[in-house]
Amino acid sequence: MNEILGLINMREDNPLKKINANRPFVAMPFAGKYRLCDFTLSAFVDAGINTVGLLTPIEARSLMDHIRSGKEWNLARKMGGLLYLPMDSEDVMEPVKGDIKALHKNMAFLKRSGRQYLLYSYCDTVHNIDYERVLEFHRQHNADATVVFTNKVNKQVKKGRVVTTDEDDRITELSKPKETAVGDNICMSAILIDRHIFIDAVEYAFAKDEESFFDDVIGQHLDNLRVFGYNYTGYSARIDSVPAYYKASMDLLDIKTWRNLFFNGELRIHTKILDEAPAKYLAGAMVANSMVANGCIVDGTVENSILSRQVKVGRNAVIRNSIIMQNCVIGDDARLDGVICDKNGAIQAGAVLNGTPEKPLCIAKFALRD
Amino acid sequence: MQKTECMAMILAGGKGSRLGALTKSLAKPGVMFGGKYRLIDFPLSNCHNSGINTVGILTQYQPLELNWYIGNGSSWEMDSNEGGTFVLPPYMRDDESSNKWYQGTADAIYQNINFIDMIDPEYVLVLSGDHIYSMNYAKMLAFHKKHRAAVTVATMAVPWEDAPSFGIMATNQNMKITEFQEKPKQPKSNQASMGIYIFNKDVLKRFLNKDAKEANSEHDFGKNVIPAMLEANISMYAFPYEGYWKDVGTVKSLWAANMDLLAEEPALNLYDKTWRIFSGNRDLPPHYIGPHAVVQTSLIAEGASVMGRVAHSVIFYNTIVEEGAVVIDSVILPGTVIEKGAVVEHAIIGERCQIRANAEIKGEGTNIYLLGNDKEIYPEGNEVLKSS
Repeated sequence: MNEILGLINMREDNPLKKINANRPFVAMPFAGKYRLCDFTLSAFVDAGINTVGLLTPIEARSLMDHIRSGKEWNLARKMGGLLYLPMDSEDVMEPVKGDIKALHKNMAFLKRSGRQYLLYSYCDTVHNIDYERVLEFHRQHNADATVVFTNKVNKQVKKGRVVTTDEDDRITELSKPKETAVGDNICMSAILIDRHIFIDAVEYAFAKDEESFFDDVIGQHLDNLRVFGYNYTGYSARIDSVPAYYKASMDLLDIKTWRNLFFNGELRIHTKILDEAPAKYLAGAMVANSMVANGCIVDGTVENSILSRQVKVGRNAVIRNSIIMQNCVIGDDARLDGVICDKNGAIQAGAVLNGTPEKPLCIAKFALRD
Repeated sequence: MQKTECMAMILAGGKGSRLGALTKSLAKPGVMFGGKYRLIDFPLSNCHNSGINTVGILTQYQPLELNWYIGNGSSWEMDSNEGGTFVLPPYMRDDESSNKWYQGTADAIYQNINFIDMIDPEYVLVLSGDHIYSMNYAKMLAFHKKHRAAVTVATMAVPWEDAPSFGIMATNQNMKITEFQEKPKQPKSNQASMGIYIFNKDVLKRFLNKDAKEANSEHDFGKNVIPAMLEANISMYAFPYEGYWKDVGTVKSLWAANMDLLAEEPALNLYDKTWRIFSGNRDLPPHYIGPHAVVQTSLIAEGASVMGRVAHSVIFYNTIVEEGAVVIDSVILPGTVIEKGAVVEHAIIGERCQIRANAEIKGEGTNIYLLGNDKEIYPEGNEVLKSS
């Protein structure tokens, strides 16, 4: 897989501002111990890609603290490895729509690589794609580009690019983002493409002042480029709103989904290591249908919920249908239902907090707490 | 690069023969504990947390799995430019008469004097690779320097009635060791040696060289080197340690040490953010507790899935407890599956075992049922080696 250069675009609008406005979307905690970017990054490296560029977002602090040298993803290398591609002052002062300008600015990264292919992806989808299979598909079809899509999108997802393919899997139409219906083939914002074609296409699009690689380049050149669609059938969840985030989290509380996502053959999701002790259940623990990370200490009731690392659940506290992030303390006798509580939260003893799946109650991150 | 003030040598070649099937193909420091750890995580994490980052690890018995686990030491942040972990097996030399296995704890260090010379520290910390405890060696080193000691031995108070089974250190008021009694019938103190020593390098070298020439010596620190040093009036102090410490020599004590963790506030705090115990990482998701599961007073590690009932037990990573299965007072090592309706009580179950549906495994009282790795148990009760 050393023929592939990886490029991940992390500059996405944050649909989860209601949970946390300060953290970039891709650094949003998910599934107890991960960040959204872990899924894309892990799929890249598990396919043997050893050089990955990251187009980092404006608020990069929490992201960089998470990825650091890339060691946990095996990307702390002497040759290649991880390359941060940060915004420059113009990107910050004069934000533009679409990704063409950012791609053009980082042409040096694309050009100096000797790799035949480029794998370019966003991080808006939770998945465990086996990119070795995508490459195999790409070669079998003698494709110029292969777009990954899925037709298993949950109905919480509002907008997406719909992919239409012919009987040979060649894409005949790639729509702009639009309302989708259940069963539509939705583009997963990931494309495997010949690197030279990618460079030429970006330079051409930049000269013509175009904005979006998927919409203005791929979508408009389906006649002269051989673009194929790879149907990813494993678990995936697009996160484009707070309810979608909530639903995708709750979906993991089905053991089949949990297994599909986290134990897909040899593929694993990598993340920053914290060396937490195993979760501890005390005498008052009553836990059902929940996902619990290491470092938690539970002495209350937890149902249909996700506890991130280092969460403490007090005696007789009741947590239902909630997502509790890292290092939160839920006081004795507190009652939470339908709550998303961001990192370091401290819920007072006896507090009662309620939300719904459509409108989860979001508690913002506490900056400081031991 | 800074000069290394203090380096550690971890004795990790022991067989731990009383641990039976658990150490059949694994050195004792590699034995698993507490849901995700191996015993050697404790001395290695203590070293890291104490600021000691040059560590020699002396291996001998069944080193393969242990070497693989230690790797380049990155799990304990030892993979730095300054220091690192160095696995030190016995090796061949020019002088064929000295080509032999490590004869004892002191001989193991003696055979690696050249390694210590290469690092050239002022102090050498000698540790066992198979003790469970959290200890700040930096405090012990400060104590050593404050007393201008040549040797400091960490000691802990044991119940007087147990003292006859330990190496006992009698001290004066200033903690200077006046007498060492190996398993005394009439102990003069209840401060037992923990097998943790700080030596001034020159003193260590001198006495190891001397000990190597003694034909009758067992080349053991406790039995030979420490008594010889006392005899020669070397300034030796006892550093009193308070806190949890266990040498898990038997299946029962290993089981009991696991059960110790289930106390509401255990003496060994694995959740102390200022003193983390590091271990090898496996990239596993948070564990899953099923809709009808019951889990109480237990430790459960990542990647496990529990659909049945778990009470007062330690469940390692990647373990599966199926619907209707019951696990009580037990330790389940990684990758094992307890199938529907199976019952496991008072047991330690090895790695990658398959307890078939409705099978029952029960130990009783002081008799802990131990099942080795890769075994299958059927309801009829016979153990079968899993065909791979």
